[in-house]
Amino acid sequence: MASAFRLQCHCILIFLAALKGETRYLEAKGAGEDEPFLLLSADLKRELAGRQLYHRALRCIDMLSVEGQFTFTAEQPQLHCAAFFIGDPEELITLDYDFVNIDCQGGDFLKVFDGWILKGEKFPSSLDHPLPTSERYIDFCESGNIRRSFRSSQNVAMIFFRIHEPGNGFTFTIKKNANLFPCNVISQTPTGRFTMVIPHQHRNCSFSIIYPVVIKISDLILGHLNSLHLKVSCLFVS
Amino acid sequence: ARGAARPARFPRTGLAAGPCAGARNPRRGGGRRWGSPGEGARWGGGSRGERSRGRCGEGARWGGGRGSGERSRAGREEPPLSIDLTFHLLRHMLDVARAQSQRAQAEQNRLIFDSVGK
Repeated sequence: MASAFRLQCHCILIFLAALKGETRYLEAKGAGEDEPFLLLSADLKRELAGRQLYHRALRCIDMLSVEGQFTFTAEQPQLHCAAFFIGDPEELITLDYDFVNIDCQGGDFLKVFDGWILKGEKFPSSLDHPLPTSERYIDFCESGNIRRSFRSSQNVAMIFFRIHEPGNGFTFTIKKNANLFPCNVISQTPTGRFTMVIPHQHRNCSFSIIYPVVIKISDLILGHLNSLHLKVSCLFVS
Repeated sequence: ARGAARPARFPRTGLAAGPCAGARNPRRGGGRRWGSPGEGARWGGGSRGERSRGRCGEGARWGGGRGSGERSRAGREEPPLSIDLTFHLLRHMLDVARAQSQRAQAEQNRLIFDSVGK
């Protein structure tokens, strides 16, 4: 009886939360990315999962928007390299080191940065990111034995690396994870529509587009006044 | 194999010249501001920038640069590792990455349909 009553209370709470708009409406992405897998048997899914890991060589200056495994091998001393990672607005980037062969004592380094930084300008800015700048860099040479996996706080991240000795290099795997409430976003595309929902959080959020675009704000709810909720939707076109 | 951990040092090159003399840095100021037409969005925390002085076509440059706003707050703190890359190059790289992602998805779809068709 007690458990039944508890279940009823939970259902009522969920219903009330839905009425108040505190549940996140998960905007479906375009035509079912995972739907084909629903038709397949478990054996076939395992077989496909094993074969589907995308792999390519990483360039000194590179941009990655796809999951997979990437290998950099220095053919000559590469002293100023960086790779940018970007996902969809509702994704987080996870980087796992699979293999690293660099000479930290010889001046090589491999650092992940939580966000993007160009010409000293950071995204998200220091005002918007929960961590101080120094903690947004994860240096493999300092923490590689402890931390071989990194997850970004938003849909972008990057690595900086320097390798002196030809033949040295590293391999890492990029995966993307869902982020239900993206707060700081860089758009991959110059067109689209995005809705940012900030559920009862006191924080700065931002949405950046590095293309010349026209932004139309189609739906804007700011503040929490008389049970009205906060929501911003914008449409951007190039 | 990786050597013993050592604090990595990167060149304190200061505010490195940008890669392209033709690219104007957008006006800077506090908070988040939008750049000049063609430059797209900028981001940062109240930093002040400088004009690019490099030659066009040099591509990316590294810098330990940081805006004067942050520098004044941090005092003698080492500037963050950064890269000098124009938005033009960044957009080009984004376009290439997007095309690559579509090709990878197409290949994945082909594998799925090949397997389903067995």
